[in-house]
Amino acid sequence: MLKKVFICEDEPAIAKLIKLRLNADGFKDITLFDNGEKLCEHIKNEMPDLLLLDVMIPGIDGMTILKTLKGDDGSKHVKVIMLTALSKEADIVKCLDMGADDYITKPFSPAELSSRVKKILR
Amino acid sequence: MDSFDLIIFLITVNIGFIFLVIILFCYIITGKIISNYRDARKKKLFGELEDAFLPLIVSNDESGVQKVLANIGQKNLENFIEFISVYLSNIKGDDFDRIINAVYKSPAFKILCDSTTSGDLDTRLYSIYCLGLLKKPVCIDNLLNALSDANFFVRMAAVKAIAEIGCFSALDQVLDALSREKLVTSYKLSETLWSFGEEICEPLLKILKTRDGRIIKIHEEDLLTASVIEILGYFKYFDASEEIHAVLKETKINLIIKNCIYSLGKMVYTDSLRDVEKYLDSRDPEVRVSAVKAILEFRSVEKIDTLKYLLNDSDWNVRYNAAVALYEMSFDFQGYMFSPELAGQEMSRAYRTIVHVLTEKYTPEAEAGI
Repeated sequence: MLKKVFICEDEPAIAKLIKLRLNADGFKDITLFDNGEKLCEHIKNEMPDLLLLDVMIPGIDGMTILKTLKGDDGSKHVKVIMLTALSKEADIVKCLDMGADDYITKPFSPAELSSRVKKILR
Repeated sequence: MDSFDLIIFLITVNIGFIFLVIILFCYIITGKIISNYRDARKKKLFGELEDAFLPLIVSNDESGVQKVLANIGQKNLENFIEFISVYLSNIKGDDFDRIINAVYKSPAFKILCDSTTSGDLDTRLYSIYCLGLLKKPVCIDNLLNALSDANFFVRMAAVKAIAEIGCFSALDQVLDALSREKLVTSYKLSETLWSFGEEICEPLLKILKTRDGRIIKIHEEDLLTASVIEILGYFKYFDASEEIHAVLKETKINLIIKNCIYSLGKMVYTDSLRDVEKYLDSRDPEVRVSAVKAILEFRSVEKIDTLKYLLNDSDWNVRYNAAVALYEMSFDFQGYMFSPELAGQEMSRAYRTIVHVLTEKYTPEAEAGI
């Protein structure tokens, strides 16, 4: 699949695992970021089709990035899946209200995550 | 002392000082070399583990895992636990099962079990923590033994691990162990019960029905009953509502009253409404807060006048929750704030709270009436 996916996750082992899982499911163009600042810097030059975004990351937090992306006409088309340990109903509602296309809570199933990515990018 | 002796003294002091600096320098360098060596060893192990576990998770290829796990010993156990914990706390489903089964089949699992009695405190703590994450009931005897460890933190780690495994048959031993602890708090007790998961509700209801059988007391308060009620409410275990209502009627302990009201509110057990309402004017502000929250859960509009009165309560939390409850019940704050009947009354606390809540709840969509 030629879709471009960015993953912003501060735990390298988990980021690598997601990348491999998506690779195995045909997503070849995947870029990893371990903090919000690097992601924001990169996104100015290159826009992904889908962003897998951890809520709690160093630098700029996931919610702020989501708000910025969805508030900008140039980037609001980017699909965003939030990935976080916050599992309260209010947190999920907040993310979806802010424009997230989906929300996955940790612990998560890598296979399920990949299915959701496929569904959103279909 | 003549000048020759002084020179000898100064030279000796200087040589001693230089010697000390050299020793300090060597110490720092050696420390740095050892630390680099350990980092390199850790990085190498992480690399090997990652190369083995990623194919297992992604493509169910177990070939490399047993080979690398066979090399896990006491020396690199801590690094292994650090590595595996990341996966175990972030992954669920079939992938999680594959990881724990692979570890269970390997010699590393026995090392983990044996390490619960290690002479080293960190090793005991880490191994117990990891066994909790692995959720294999087969290690329960090791964890039960750890409940009698000499160290408080190890005992608490064992409690948490047993709860995470969800071993209900060990619930009695866990509660007995907690009842022996002087430092256990209501929070710790509730957290432990919560860690067992939703299935704990049935055994907890049995405990509640025989609550005089075993009591964990702190400051003469029955912590166990309070926590059991809190957890039953958290999981909205409606089967317990009648029993909790009965406890509310009979108890005089504020912590239990507070938790009963919380749980009855969560379960929206309307039969208890009259008994809950009585606590809106309790002397304990925490009980008043709990009652206000329950009234909101019940959507008891006939209590709006009491909630209005509580907007001027002496406690901030009570005022705040009363304002939130009124807001959620679509109360007309504007009409209230400008009502002539309030003229001349001291309402600054109520007004501040209302403004705070309205600001907090403000969204452009709400303003536009969308």
